Amino acid sequence: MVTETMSARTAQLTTQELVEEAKAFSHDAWTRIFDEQYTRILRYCFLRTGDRTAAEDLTSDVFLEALRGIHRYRYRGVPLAAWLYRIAHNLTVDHLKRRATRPSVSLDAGDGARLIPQVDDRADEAVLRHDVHDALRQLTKEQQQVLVLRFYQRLSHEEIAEVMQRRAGAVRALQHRALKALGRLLTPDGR
Amino acid sequence: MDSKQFEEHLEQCLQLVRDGMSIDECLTRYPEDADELRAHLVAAQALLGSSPAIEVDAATQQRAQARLLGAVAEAGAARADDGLLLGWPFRLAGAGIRRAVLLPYALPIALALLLAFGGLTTVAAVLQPDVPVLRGIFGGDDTAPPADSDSSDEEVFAAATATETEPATEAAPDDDDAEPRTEFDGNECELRGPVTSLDPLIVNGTVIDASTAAEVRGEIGMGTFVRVRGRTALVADERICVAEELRVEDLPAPAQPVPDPEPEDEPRTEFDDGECELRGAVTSVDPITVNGVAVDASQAERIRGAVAVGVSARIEGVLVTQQGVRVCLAERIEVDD
Repeated sequence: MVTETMSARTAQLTTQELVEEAKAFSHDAWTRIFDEQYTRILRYCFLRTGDRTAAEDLTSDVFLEALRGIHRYRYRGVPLAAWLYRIAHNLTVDHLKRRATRPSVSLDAGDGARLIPQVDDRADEAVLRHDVHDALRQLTKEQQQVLVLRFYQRLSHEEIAEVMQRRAGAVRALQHRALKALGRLLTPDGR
Repeated sequence: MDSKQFEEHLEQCLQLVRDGMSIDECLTRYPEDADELRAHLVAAQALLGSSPAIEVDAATQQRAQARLLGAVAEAGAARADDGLLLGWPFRLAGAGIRRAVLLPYALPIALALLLAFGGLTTVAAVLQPDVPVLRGIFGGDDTAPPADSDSSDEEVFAAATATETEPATEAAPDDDDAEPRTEFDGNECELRGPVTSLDPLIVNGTVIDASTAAEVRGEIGMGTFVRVRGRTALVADERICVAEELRVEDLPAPAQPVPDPEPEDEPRTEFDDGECELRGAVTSVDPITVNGVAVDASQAERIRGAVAVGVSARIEGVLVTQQGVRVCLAERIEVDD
């Protein structure tokens, strides 16, 4: 339970206004940004690292990094979340290098992670999840990233383009190839 | 059915599947693409059904929020302190004088005083109030913690060249991105590849005008692997890329295809995960060559249109090596109308 709350006025701000207030170090603006984005950034960091503790630390760092860089940020119509994902991406890359581990998408429940089964999580669903995650790990890192952002984080192509610093068209093409490769891995005959 | 239309159908079906429609139901809308669409949609549905959940620990979240808001408060207080340096003329003026009237005079006066009393260091601090303020809060210098300098599979792309919207650390694209790439999107261009000519500067067969580039990093020579971002322009009916940013990349240049001397619309050469996708003019038919890459059509499942020298074609397939030469073993060839 988070105790900090924001004013009703802050809750009504547009993203552009929110950014301006954040640049002015408004307590309420940063409270709103944190409240709206914490869970999704945590989830992203966890998907990238597979380490819950590291994901929590990284998520905290993402917001401090955002505070540090907010004066450089220019709102261009892309949701603020895309910028935060970009920071999260960079921090997780640094973290993974330090940890010297390869997988960029770690979806195992090991290493302190707690994947929460759905309430109706049946055995076949668990098998499917395992198979999908296993197949995901066999894709290239860029393919993994685009699928995670698109299907797990539900970002638009434009938002993913902002995160990956690619054109939206390139993101679509990358997703196309990633899905094709994943489908091939998930198909029993491998075709 | 061209590939662009296929991608549109795929996106529409993906959205419908996300919204709960069954795959079969959606495929009835696009029977001509049903087989290929199904493979993509099965993968997408599997992904959607395997999304892992993570439990948010309230205490940890609270600590993180407190840490952030503490830093926000400190940054705000420090900025207010800095503001005192330039705010005094306004306070002296009182409420009856508009700030706009005093604004032209306030800065020079303040700077003169600061020069007299504080020296250049203080001036720099005032001109860039954010920097010392945040530096004081976070410690260290203003740059974000850099990614490790070793060039493993992901490396620093160029923190120093980050745009205003970018966070300070920039990771390089994956190694997959080391392949040559030419992308035109509207009036924007982005290329990665080796320099094949210096005068004029040519990358992936595209002429680069670097004369107005805001940023040129590294020493450019023949064969240097570079990344170019800029705007397209037509010069003598030829599309060129007017570079805004040109950067030498410290990447081992793989065996590069010979770029087309005169690229057709939307030329593209992409190799990814053992797959190849080419779009460009056919420069030879025996063997078929597109964007300098040899294409083996012997096992193609689909060939649309007549392949001939000069036509624009799109090839999708698998990348193989035949007698030491990289060849795109085509699964699908489409000749543009």
